[in-house]
Amino acid sequence: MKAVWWVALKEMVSTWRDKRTIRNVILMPLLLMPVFMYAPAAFFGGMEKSSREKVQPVAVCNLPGELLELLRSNRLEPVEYADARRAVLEEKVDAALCKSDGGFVIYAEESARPVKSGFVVAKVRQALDEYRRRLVARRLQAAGLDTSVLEPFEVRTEDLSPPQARNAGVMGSMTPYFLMLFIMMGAMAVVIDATAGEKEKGTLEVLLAAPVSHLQIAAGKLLAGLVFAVLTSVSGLAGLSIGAAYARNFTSDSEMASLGGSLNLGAAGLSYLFVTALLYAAMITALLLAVGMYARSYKEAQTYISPLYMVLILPMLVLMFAADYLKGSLWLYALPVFNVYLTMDQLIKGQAWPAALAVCWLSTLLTVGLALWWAARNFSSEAVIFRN
Amino acid sequence: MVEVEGLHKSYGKTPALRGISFRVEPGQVFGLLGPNGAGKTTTLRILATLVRPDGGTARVAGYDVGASPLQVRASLGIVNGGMGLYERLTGREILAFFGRFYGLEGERLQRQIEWVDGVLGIGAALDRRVAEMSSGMIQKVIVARAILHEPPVLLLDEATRGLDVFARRALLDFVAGYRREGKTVVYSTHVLPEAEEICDRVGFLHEGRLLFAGSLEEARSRYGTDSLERAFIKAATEAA
Repeated sequence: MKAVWWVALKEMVSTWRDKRTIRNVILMPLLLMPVFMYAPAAFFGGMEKSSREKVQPVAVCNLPGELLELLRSNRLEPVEYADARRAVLEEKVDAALCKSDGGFVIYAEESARPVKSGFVVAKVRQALDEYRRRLVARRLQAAGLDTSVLEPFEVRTEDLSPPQARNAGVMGSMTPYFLMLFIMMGAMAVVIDATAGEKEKGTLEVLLAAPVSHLQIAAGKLLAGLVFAVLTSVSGLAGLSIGAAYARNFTSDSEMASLGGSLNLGAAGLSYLFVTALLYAAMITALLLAVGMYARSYKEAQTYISPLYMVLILPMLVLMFAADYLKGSLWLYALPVFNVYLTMDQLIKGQAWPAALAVCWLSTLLTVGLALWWAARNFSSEAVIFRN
Repeated sequence: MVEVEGLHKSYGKTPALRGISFRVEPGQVFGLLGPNGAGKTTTLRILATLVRPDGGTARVAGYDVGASPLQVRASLGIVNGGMGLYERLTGREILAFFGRFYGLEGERLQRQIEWVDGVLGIGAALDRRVAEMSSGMIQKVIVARAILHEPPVLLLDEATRGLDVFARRALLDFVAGYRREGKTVVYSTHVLPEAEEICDRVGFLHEGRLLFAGSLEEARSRYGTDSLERAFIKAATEAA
């Protein structure tokens, strides 16, 4: 076991001294995650808020006075145009409203200018809804009926999800994806240099000729990759949490607050999530080791590893749409990679069940063993070591 | 001691070694001579347990390369021309890293590092990172790493490749001294004048066949020339 530690220590010291790697895999996730995750939403939210409060011009033609008043009360400034449609096309206004054949037409470049025109169209629709409601109320009144005839019953939806699922927000739903990303980043920083990098620099041959088993060498490199995968994940999740906390606590916008979300897992839930992520990191690192060892150069290793991203993202895409239908099938928790995302999703939503957790962990542990065996085999295979 | 008997190795359908045999006693430097592609590196890789032979046997310090790879590796020191070092570690860290695999720790490790420093004159470079070392100094650390545990057998594969005149001279002098200590050295090269200077015995390896194995005098008298280079060419011509 000492040899495993020495190999791991060498890889960790070597990686730690590479300033570029540390900057890219430890500092960048911490600093950039809040920006990536919440800055676009904050920017969009800010735009929406300012657009909501600002009085915006809207082209109108042939509108009744009451509707014009309603447009004004929805922070719009109706401007009469002979050809309101053209005014929109010439970008003099973002939307137009005209009376036509007993109805109304809204003109807007919804596909070409979805955001800008969208804000104005939303205000116009609000004004029209209110106008419609008033007209219906007046006609019902004239017929001696109350408006309540239109709403014979009230519908209310109550969310019975566990509080964890209700509070998860973006933070919760994106955590499995970002964990995968951080684990890959951290493990790759060590593993490519420790495999293809060693080949390229001519240091591998002498290491493999040292009196230590190749399984121990592979295990040492795995351990170092795992440590960096964890460090990167901690850094990335810290960045994500900082962004989420900002969104939750320092913005008045309720949509932004819910976007922030939170992971209210408790000590047990957090430790289950940690074990799941750790096993997943070990599996990814062992796979990277096996693949990296096969490559002849650093560049070639990157070429081999890139498709692995796609393979890892695919189960996540399936889960985004089908997690609700799949979570009850125990056998799915035995499928490598897929099981990790499913388990993390269920843990974050407070819906994980013990049997599923056990199957996921055992399956992932088995995959780690197989991947490590494959990596160690590559460390002993002359066709791989001296491949050219 | 190194004993090689009927060693065969092919890469796919291409034969690399066709039944070579030789023996190197303690206190001898055996020159494995031949052009590029002759099978020298394959032979040394088999001795280092990095490549498995298809047939024949090889023993290093009494251990069979197939049956006891860890003992074989513990008895070996290896230097080859294409070797590198971990550029973000210092010379001392590299020596400590490898030394531990050979059971060197604590004071014993420090003593051995001082010993190789004295033998090779590494000096201040010991505490410098490899990225900041000159190529000559890097080569010294590579040799220091190979001999740190004072292995009974030293394998040198084109070890002077790319060395400047000072580093090359230091290496050749070191090999001569190491032989005097009763160690076994297998020295693979295609630079025949180098082999003439330091080898006690030589083997002519050509297209996977050992055409000749014996002392320098035997080579000269058998092929009727004073030059080892001419002797090799004559042996290769006769074999063709």
